[in-house]
Amino acid sequence: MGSFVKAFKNSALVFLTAFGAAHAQTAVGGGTIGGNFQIDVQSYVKDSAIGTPDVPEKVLSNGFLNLIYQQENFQAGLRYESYLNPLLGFDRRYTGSGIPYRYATIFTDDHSLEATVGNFYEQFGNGLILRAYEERQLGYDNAFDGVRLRYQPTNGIRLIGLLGKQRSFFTLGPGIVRALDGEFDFNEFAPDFLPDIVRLRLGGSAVSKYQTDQDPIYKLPENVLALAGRTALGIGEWTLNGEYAYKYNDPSSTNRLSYNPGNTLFLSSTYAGTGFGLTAEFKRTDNMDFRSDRTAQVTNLQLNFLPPVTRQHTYRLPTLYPYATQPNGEIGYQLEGTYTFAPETMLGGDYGTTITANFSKVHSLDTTRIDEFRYDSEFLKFGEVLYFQDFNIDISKTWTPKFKTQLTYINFHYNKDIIEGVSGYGQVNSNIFVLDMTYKLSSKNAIRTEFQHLSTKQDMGNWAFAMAEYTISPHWFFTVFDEWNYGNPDAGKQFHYGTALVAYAFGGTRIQAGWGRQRAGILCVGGVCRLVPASNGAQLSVTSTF
Amino acid sequence: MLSFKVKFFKEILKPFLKGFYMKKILPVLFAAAIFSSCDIVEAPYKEGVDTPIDTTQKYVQKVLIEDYTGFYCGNCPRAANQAKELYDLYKNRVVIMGVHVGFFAKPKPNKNDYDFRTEVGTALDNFFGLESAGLPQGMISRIGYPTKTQATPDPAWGTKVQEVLAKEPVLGISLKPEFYKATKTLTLEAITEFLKAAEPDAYLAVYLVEDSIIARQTDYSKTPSEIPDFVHMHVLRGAVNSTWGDQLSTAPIAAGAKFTKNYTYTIPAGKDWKPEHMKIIAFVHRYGSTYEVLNAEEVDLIK
Repeated sequence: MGSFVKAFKNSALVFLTAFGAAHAQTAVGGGTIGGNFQIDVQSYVKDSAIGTPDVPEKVLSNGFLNLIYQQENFQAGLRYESYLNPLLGFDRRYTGSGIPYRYATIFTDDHSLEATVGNFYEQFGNGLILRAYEERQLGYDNAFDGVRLRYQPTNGIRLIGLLGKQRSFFTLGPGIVRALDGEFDFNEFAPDFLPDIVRLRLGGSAVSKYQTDQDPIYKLPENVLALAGRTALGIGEWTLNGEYAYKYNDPSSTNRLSYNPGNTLFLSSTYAGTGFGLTAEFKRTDNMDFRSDRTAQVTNLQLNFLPPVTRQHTYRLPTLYPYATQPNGEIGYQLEGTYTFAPETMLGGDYGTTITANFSKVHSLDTTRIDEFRYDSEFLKFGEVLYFQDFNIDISKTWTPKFKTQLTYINFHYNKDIIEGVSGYGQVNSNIFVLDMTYKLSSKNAIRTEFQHLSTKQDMGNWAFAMAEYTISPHWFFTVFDEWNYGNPDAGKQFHYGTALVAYAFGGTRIQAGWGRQRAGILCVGGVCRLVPASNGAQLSVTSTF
Repeated sequence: MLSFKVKFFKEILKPFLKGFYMKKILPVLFAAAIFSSCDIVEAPYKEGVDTPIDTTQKYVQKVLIEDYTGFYCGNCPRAANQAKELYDLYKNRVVIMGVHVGFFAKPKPNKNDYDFRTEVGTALDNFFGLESAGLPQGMISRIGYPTKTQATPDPAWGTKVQEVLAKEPVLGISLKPEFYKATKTLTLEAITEFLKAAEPDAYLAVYLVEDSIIARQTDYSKTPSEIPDFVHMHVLRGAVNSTWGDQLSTAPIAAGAKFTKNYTYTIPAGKDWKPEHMKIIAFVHRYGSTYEVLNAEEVDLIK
């Protein structure tokens, strides 16, 4: 459900998407200045039991400041970033400080025409062939540096053209990107043409990248083109969002120099009834790792985004086994149903009960190799290798106005070798229970607890997790939690990973301090993941919006 | 103070852009330009390049390929293969060093894994940050350090190798080893001759590598992917002098200057190294500044 809503929202054009958290407030010389600031500092102590890497600096930090100035038909902004040195888990190529992001935008009063020079983020449709975005927690930023025009010649028609290079740490990647997107909104264009309950939007995009070929061994395409077409159809309570993308030959380091074309088909459909909702999603991806530099790796210089068709879990223990999209090839689907038992019914109780069940499954493609550079793949056939399967069910219930609970059960089949790019681990099957309880002691004081348990016979064995969070609104937050790998098959590795945090919020500022021992793990946002080594030490974080 | 009236925009640019050209012709031209920007490559995908070597010169420019790898890294054999292809293309102008580092090179308990890791390799990785950029990863004569672009994925090696080999050599290195089998001792005379003027940041580093070590390796291009008897080539074994080597001169170096260094090295007791499979590699690099390798040389340990 969540990813559908996100995809649907993202596919609509949002003008002036600068920084979500920033609110222009301070008047300066006829305009306003706004922005936000964050710094994360962490100290690292040697903890050889959990295998923390050696940190000669002892203290590492990531920080940034966004500034946006706006006046009438003009907006300009910049972001200063500092990594001294980058926190563990971040690519060390970030080391240093600088202003990697600055831009100026001019636009007409009705926003029908907008021109941006400098850095910008952008997304075409669901992102299958173009999405520039920032995910700070992952150290991910593929902003463009160049020129962008957005133009709305008439109601319901929106055009975007852009030219630029992409950010790579504190430099730019070598590839030049030229891209064009057009969207046609039937309802806006001709409001009376369609019946009231029908909403229809069509879109198409083209992205071409240029990178020279100096390779002495291979003949590489210097210009690579990708095309995509999409539709968003709504009839009453039912919606269908579909997009197909095609990419011409693009041999790269991540597809192991495959000269095959690439393609992705993404379909998402929802039905929202009274008290219930249904979602079905399907995605088939073949050779769609698309970057503005054919030699880039990991999450560097990605041009596109393949929306995940698996649920993104946020509780702590399920994040041990998060699925990461396999852009070289995968086929999968997701089904989700939500039902709310009304209050004053047997299952609804006094205040109602909501049940959500979700199932997703991702497989390999069925492929046959032709030669070193090419392969055949069946279009709608599931391959033999199971990459990931997730069945989960949530029951949330409000017992009294002061007390509510959510019980979650998750069953994962996680192909560790494929997802983490390791070997010899195979499938990890696990069962997880989460009980989340919130109790409001008074209008200002609330306590929330989480109890989680993960059981598996593979990998690191069983885990237990307990957390308590005490809130005195609006200023104070106290959190303690402990993750315990009590079932590790190696008795010497049955560690506790405890963390205690206190946070104080005032105005737009939040200060958080704590001490924690963190397990090595994988951090994923939207199906993009990063390995984070184990650590132990104090942490301080300040965020401020002005 | 900052009374910004975008007059230019409102009075000139907007009417122009809103006019006929923008509305009708510009989007069409732009779209046509993008749609035609596509190169479709047909097989064969490899190009045959002729690389004649100038045999009239005493020294030629050589390139050092450092292949950062690990036996649990399933994509790493692909990089080793890329190094070999470049070697086959450029023959003895390519010097290769396989450096096993980090997580993927760490022996697992009870697996009887071979520990390829070396002190010098780990020190280099800590400094240049190859593993943190994801393996396989390499460096081509260590170029790119000042812009943090030294970490080079294997498909980009060819491009950088070609760049390095197109340079005029600043210096040449000649190596004269003697190996005494009974004592497993090497004596080495390393002569560095400068063809151009250079800075005092020139350091000579001398390492040992070994070919044809049979040990396990994960290779995702094979089924099954576990190869128990993989042949590991160019494996870095250790430094003859040190990680960064020896400074050649404390003063600026003039063209024509010649420096002779003599080394004695004994293979440590307990090592299963096979001297008949070993090579000495030597290179001069710009320590403390760009770290670029100016030239490299390789000879068999036993002639």
